[in-house]
Amino acid sequence: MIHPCLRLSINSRLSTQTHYLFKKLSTVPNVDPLPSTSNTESKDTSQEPEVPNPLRYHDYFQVRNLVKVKDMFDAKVHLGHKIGSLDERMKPYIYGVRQGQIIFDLDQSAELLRDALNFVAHIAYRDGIVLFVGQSAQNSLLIEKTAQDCQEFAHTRFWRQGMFTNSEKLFRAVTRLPDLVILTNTLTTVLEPNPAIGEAAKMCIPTVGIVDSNCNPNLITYPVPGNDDTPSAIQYYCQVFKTAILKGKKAKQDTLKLLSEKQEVQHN
Amino acid sequence: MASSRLEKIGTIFTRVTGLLRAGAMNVNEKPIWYDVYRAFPPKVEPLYSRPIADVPIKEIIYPEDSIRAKLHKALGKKMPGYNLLEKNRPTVSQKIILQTLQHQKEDPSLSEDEALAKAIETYNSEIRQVKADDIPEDFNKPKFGYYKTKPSLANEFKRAVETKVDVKKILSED
Repeated sequence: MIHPCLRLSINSRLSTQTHYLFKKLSTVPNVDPLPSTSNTESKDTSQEPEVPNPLRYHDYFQVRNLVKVKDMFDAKVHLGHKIGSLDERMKPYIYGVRQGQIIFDLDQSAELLRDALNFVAHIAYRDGIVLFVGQSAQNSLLIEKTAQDCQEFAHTRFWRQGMFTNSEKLFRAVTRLPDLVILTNTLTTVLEPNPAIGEAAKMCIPTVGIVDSNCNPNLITYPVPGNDDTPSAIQYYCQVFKTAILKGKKAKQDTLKLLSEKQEVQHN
Repeated sequence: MASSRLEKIGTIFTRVTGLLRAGAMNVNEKPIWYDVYRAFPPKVEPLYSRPIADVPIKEIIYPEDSIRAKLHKALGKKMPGYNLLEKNRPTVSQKIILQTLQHQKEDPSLSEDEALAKAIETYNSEIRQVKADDIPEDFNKPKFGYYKTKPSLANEFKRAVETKVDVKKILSED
């Protein structure tokens, strides 16, 4: 039993510590995580720095409106596996069971996909390296093509143990690891969790992953519940992820252009 | 990078935060995702040891399912196939079910079985109509696959409905 006075002092010390920590680590002032009701143009921009900080906007890259539940439904994203193969940890994302087949709640999936796309666009904006991973033979060409189209990387084959954790020995050189791993399929061909997920978590690399009803979503930073087998669904994911990455890169180019123009004006 | 490789303890964010707080990682060298994660954290913290939510799983059942069950039981494999890529055209079973509901709405005294039998008859006559309309103008140049696929499909259905399926009789057995 802690004495009430003592407890009070511990509490206050804790709060000051957290406050200190917050101040020390804070590089992002005034993030509004919800879309502001007022128009962004009406904001007072006189105090803003020259370049807008994307982290201060709910949807800086305009990627959240890419996701529509109707499109997901048409791409058959809502279809899960049979109830017998259900992973208990996927229960909150399920809408119901139709004739023994699991149907995902697309409202939840769409919201999670929007968050994931926003994160992906931010990483692309910050010059991060994105790696597409997915082990399904029928979709691997599509995934590789997507990565090629947005000038990123893909690995759709067998995952050799230690590609992240022991990369310098494996590749015989200092290796730059990716800043984000996008998994279009979190299981291997023998329905084991892809070792890339654990390795990315070990190396502190965030993951965005499509999790079907027989997958474990716990280690994935931004899980998106949905069908991970059907080519039409994979096509849909690839298309939205590609658009998000390209939008992030475009925003970066625009910002650089703006900066160079401003410098020129100052120079003159 | 000096970080813990025990991925099942905490999350990537808590581990990097610990390194930053302890000074093991310079604030200027923090990973590029760190600020993004801070600004837009995931809805659920990606903890490996997250407890399993006890959510009941419900069955999805529609009111017209009894009609659908009877229809498929009666016609079974005699139902024509349909194209999965076609999104705008209703399937045969959808058409017949809608027709059944329509019949029931128009005449509430009809039982479900009677309405279904009527709907199947309507659909059957509709098929005949389509077949009559489909006769090409120039018989010397028939469409590819016209004689092979279309009549056989229609015939199949016609045979199913007319010969084997005296629907009322079948339904009354159950």
